[in-house]
Amino acid sequence: MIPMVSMREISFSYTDAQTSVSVLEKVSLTVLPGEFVCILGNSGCGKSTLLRVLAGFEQYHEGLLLIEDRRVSSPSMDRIMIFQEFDQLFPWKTVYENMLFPLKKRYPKMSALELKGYIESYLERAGMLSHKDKYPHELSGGMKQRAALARALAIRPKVLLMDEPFASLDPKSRSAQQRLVIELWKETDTSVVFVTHDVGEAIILSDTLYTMDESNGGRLQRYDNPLQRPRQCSMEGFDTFSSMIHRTYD
Amino acid sequence: MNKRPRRTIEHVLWIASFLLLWELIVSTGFVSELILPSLLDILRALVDDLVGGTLLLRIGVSLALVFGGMILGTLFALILSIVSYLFPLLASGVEVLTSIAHPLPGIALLPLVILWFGTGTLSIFFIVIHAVLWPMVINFNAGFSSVNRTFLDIGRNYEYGRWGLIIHVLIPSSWSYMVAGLRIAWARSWRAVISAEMVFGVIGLYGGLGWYIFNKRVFMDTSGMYAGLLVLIIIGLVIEDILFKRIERRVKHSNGGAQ
Repeated sequence: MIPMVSMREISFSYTDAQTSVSVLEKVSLTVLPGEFVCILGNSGCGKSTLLRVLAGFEQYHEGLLLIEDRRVSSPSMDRIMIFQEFDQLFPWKTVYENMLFPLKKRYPKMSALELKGYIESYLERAGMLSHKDKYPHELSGGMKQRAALARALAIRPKVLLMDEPFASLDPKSRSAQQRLVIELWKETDTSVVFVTHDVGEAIILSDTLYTMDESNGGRLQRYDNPLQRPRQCSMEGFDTFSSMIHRTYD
Repeated sequence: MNKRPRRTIEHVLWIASFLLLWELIVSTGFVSELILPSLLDILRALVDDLVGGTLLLRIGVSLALVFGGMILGTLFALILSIVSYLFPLLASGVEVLTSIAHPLPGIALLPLVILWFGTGTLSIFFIVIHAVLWPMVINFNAGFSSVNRTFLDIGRNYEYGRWGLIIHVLIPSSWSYMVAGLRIAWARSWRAVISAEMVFGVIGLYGGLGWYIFNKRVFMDTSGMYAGLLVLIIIGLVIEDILFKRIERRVKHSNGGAQ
């Protein structure tokens, strides 16, 4: 099977006029089609940078980034990013219009009517259909993230990149969002790279889990998730796996 | 929520007391009618000139100059700001030009403009564009530089190039800055037009409201002069307190709360 994402020994550093801060040093990562990968790391360890490199927002200096077997270096709708910030819907557009504008570009052959049905089906699955004509400032943080998720999935990217999208939510809506992500991801063949600093979240969501070690240039340590889906914090084996991760992670 | 109607009532009461005071002073007879005509005379002059006279035309001329100038000035400002955004070297040039030109009151440029363009509509138009252009450049630049970085990333994620980002992200996320700029531009250009018309209008073919007021003074038609001032006040109130407030409410959220 051709991996969906192959990141081979990628190095990246932030540079300005005076200084250069190395964030990633020869980091490699492979993601299979349909695989849900979580990357765990403390804040500032470079996991967001890794995601930004994957998205093509940042140019890597060394190494190779392949999507399927094509080399990529700029952003595209094959890799859609969901950000942590609640403000990722354009505030001058309604929820519906926010979905319409990338989708018109993505599916130029769809008629206006087909697009409408298509968008509404995704909004419905994300529980946002009744809010489709609202502006972002009329929505709660959780609703904004659901709309962003619906928009991202409707684009049908090959890879969905998620940068701690639920970190700013309260615990209750957080687990609701996690269930929604799993539910929607299962219906697609999209690969997901999900970055978080929350061990529990990573265990609940991932097929494969990586910890990121900042002292070692952001090198990744791989763990296969042994737990059956659907998962909960109270299930058997959760604590064992969790404490194993914690031993290396903290 | 309860405060607004109460304040409106207060405002109306204050206006009524000012008018009453006016009438009281007039009725004492101490002040010449040529300086302070009665409200009824002013109102009569206003109605006469609106219905039978040229006042509507004068208002139209002034407003057309201002709105035409605002549209053109905004367009020029947009071009300058986009160029600044795309080319950092030119940005500093635009910045210097703006700092030089912005503090110059339009009316101070009149002698210069007369030398260049004479005393016609073109000169007034030039003054209006000067009044509009610089505050709009400043506001567009502020809007562009405060755009939420995430919005730009999202735009790139949707495969927009430079121009796509400018049209679909940068400009719409600057709506609120544009409206704030237009508000300043309106105030500056409206004042500039009225002043310039007082200087030029007598010669120019189509005098505006400034010329109307000036002309009334020349013929010692004080009531007519006050009627002109009244029109100025009403136009100012309608545009600043009603029109702009409405537009501002609509674009309040356009930049996503980024400052």
